[in-house]
Amino acid sequence: MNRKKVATAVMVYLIAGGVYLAFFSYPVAPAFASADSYALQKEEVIYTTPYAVYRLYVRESEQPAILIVATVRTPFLPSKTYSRTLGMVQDIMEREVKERYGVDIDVVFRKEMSARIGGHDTVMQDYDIHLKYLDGMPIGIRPDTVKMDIGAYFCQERYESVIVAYVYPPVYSGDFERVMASISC
Amino acid sequence: MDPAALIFASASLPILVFHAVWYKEERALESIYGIFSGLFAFSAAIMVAYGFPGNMILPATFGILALGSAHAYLKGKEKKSLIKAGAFTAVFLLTILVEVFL
Repeated sequence: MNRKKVATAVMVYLIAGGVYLAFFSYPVAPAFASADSYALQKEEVIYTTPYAVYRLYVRESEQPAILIVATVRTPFLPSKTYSRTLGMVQDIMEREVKERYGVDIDVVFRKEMSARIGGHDTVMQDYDIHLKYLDGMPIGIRPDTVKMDIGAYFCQERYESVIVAYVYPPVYSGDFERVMASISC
Repeated sequence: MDPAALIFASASLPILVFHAVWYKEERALESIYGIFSGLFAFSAAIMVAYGFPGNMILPATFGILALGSAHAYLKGKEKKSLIKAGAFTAVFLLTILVEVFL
């Protein structure tokens, strides 16, 4: 009888663990941006446990602005998950900048700042990305530096964490607040 | 309600059912704490959507179970309760450690 109870207890805790695993693997409803002139170009699953997906939006021009909104299934915002996803999002963003601008880049951390993303107060890291054009043409009207801002918040109503990375040239600096406000989970 | 919230909350149901089904007079204290921990985990998981800190759920659940076993040991001085209290305290500390490094 006692052995049966111990086996049942072990089974019960294994089932509870399995249900937690199912929670982390349950697909997220990707957070999205609805700012005018930013078109969705890509949606890709980053990993499946915890389930994470990102969406890439671009404001097309000679100097494109690029927005990545990643969504991760979490019951809170664990710092390691945040760092890991943030690192991945930053890598994806740097690759996009290199491809779309045709440049090599140097990324320099500038400061931390607060921003309001989709109604949530969020701490963002602000970077300068120095562009080294590969075509050899003089910089002229092209920017030599673009901004990159990265931040994250926990979307409690959906049990998801949202990580946002936004790169914009000086010409679109006025878009920042509008783009951040348009993000929803 | 988001299906993810229901999945998250339902993780506590097996523990709740286990303690309710195995309820015995001589182990009443531990069973009551067990049922309470299951109810707490279930409602806390639902309350995450309204601002309850999700990182508190697992440590608090195992903390309640550890308290139950410790309470039962203090009442009945049974070695079994002491072992359970130690095991649940270890899991309680482990969940905190995992969350710190997660």
